[in-house]
Amino acid sequence: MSVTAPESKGRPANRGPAGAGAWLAWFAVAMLLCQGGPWAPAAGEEITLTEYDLKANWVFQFTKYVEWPPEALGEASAPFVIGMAGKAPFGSNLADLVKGETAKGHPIQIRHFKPGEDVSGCHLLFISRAESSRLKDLLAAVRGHSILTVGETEDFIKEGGMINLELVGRRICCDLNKRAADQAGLKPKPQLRPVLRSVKE
Amino acid sequence: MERLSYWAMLGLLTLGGNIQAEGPGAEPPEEGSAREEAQAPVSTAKALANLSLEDLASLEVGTVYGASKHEQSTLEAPASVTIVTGDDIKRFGYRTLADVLQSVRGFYITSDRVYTYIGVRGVNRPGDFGGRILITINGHRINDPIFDQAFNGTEFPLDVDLIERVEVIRGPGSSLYGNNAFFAVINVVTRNGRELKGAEVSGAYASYNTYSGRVSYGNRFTNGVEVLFSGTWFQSDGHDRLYFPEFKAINGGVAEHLDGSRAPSAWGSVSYGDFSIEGGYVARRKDIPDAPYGLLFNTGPAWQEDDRGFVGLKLEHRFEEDWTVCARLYYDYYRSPMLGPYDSASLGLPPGQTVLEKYFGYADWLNGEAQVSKRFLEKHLVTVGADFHYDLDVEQEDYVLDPHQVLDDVRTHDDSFGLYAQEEYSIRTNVILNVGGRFDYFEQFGSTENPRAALIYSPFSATTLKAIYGQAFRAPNASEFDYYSVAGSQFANPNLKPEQIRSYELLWEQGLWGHWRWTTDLFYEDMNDLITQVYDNTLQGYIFRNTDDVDTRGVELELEGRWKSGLRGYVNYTYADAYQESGGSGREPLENSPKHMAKLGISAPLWRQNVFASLETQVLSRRRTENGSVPGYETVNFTLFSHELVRGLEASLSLYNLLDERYRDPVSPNFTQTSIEEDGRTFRFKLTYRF
Repeated sequence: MSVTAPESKGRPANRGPAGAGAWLAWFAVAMLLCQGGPWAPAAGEEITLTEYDLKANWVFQFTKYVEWPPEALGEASAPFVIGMAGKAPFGSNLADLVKGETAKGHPIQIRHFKPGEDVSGCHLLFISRAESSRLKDLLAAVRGHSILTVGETEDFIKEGGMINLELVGRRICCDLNKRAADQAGLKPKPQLRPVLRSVKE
Repeated sequence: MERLSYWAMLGLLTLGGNIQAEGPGAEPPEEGSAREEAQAPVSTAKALANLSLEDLASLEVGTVYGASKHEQSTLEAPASVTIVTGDDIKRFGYRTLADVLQSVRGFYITSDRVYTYIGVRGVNRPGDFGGRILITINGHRINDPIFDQAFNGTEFPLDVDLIERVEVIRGPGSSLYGNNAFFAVINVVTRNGRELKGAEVSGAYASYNTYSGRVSYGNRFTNGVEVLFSGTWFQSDGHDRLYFPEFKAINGGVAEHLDGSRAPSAWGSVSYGDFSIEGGYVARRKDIPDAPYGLLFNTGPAWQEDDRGFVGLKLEHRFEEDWTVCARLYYDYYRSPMLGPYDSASLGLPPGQTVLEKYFGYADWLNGEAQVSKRFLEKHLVTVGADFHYDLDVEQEDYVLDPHQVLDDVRTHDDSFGLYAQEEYSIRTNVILNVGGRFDYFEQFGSTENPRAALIYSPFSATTLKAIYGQAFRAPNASEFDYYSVAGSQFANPNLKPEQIRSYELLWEQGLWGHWRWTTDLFYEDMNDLITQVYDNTLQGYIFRNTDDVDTRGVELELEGRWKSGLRGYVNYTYADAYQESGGSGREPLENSPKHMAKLGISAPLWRQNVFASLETQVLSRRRTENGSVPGYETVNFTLFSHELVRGLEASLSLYNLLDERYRDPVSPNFTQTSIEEDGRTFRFKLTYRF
């Protein structure tokens, strides 16, 4: 199709590579200048995160930023149980995250509840989107217990769930149903407030 | 001139840094533990365990849908992926999808003043309409069945303001998508109603008397219904006068008032529970100033129109026990009229008159897809699916307007279906094997099978290695296998076969010091039977044939940096050696193929998180044309962007080709010219208000 092309005359040849090399140097120098500067670093920015990397972290943070009544937690050696209703979408994320960590001084344990199993033996219950058809039953089953319910469906708060995590755009938004938490004797710490999208009093 | 841009860049950074330092919001130092931990070989989630709540709330997901047809981390995707977000689009002042891609490593855009064409890794042959890239909106195929065109300019059916992210997935994607996923799949993900949460009004004024305006509304109501509706108007006078020395004999080579365009477009989506309906349309008309296809020069009217629209129903449901089912059914249409003046003799009519001829390409089709995926034993994710394409009507017609006389009328039918399967096997926690394949059957030429295999290994949390092999195809389209034109001396070729590509890629992505990411991407692509328009001496006319074999090999290097303060930047370089095998052991470099390409972009906060300055520059080396070459060039773009200085208001001022570089792009053999000069310095001022 194409014929041998004669070189065009009087044109600078191949400015590309020289330009690129010089750039690379300038770029590195310029950005390195920022390293010690006021550009505060934060972990995770170089890592590509998925929705459930983030949600696993939120769940973990709730063990720190919510207060449980002491009687609900039991002896120091008793585990703090994070319950998963049905198949949780976290993969190994949450398990890796809580390995070796404690909540309120208690070792953290993850329990997966099969459909129909009694879910009241935990301190925090995550109800995944796949369980939305059983949402009402699950919330009814934990009523009267000091269990923090965390969900990820649109009607979670409306149905009486306590904390909902939702992916909006590229960020996780967090809603709190304070009334439901109060009824269960759970106290979200004030530090949680600024990062919440909405609070139902 | 180049020097200038470096100093400008450096100045900008220093300035940004100083102002930031004085600002009150100097972030709490989080230096120590978390940062070092991120480098340790632990899981992604663990690396974030010590984050503050504020930091956690500010983190964004970095997932891609289009690489495996489900959401996954870009690092686990079986391809080299670049994500451009809606935020990048605002900060860098991108006006079209073409602007977005211009910033992406390995991609380059050329223009003939009617369309813009996407080049990848040194391949962007003049005369091809871009059918070797598949463009999708939320997974729905946008390429049309007449020209396979990869719409990316103002004829792209979605206003870029409505983009949540653009996923650029390099490498062959036919194992999942079938036709057109040859070099890359570009999946555009739209914003949704809950994110818009109200109304948005936007208006812009730009060079050459260009106006555009948009009104959008989106929300999710308490009953669970989520909606987004948006309408955009775009119009431009274009250049009053454009000079083409090749036509010096006519009006001194100046085309007057033949560069205007207009492009109304609309987008809407409604969803409830697992169901959603979405649709979009654009009707762009662009005047043709540079007289391709033997049009009379500086004579109006001469325009090309692209009307593209679709509406579809989607169902997606996740069952217990990790079953996900997805089904979609769409109606699509494309109208492509082109009107222009000809010398009557050139159409085989009685000589001595100027007549208006209209080409009218018209296509309506139905298409759908069903897909099921299931996770087995934690370690296996299996996806199987089927899709179909059914032509309701595909027609290409040529006629003279006054007196009405039909020159050619061709009707085409090329139904197809495909079956695909993919398995993602987590061999160990840090090793993933992704294998897939697809069978396609086309009424026109029969069947083709295309596999892909990728091994993804992450020895440390900040290191990812990928080895990818894939095959892909592009089927002959209606304009190639069926269109004939007595007037245009064009012959049909029903014996065309699909084009084939084999691609080998090695990718190394390395996170560095918590903020940097280094990417090395080695590629070798072997293409066979590329469909090319040739002149046949026996037929005395043009015909498409599977003639060309093209190879391209090279490397892409990229360094990206990102800070919580909002400072971010990238610099990348692509070396691509693309050549055509010309019988025996002969090889010749490809036309419109830059061997070297470098890009740099920096966006820095000037005042808190409210005002950003962004600078971008792109350098391309010399490219061959049909009978010579066009020199290398460098363009620099600058955008000043502010938001929330006034509640709800965004304002931006952009300068494109700031240094007023005069550069040219090679164009197709349908032009008298072999290359065409592109725009010099232009500007755009834009305001957006959210209610």
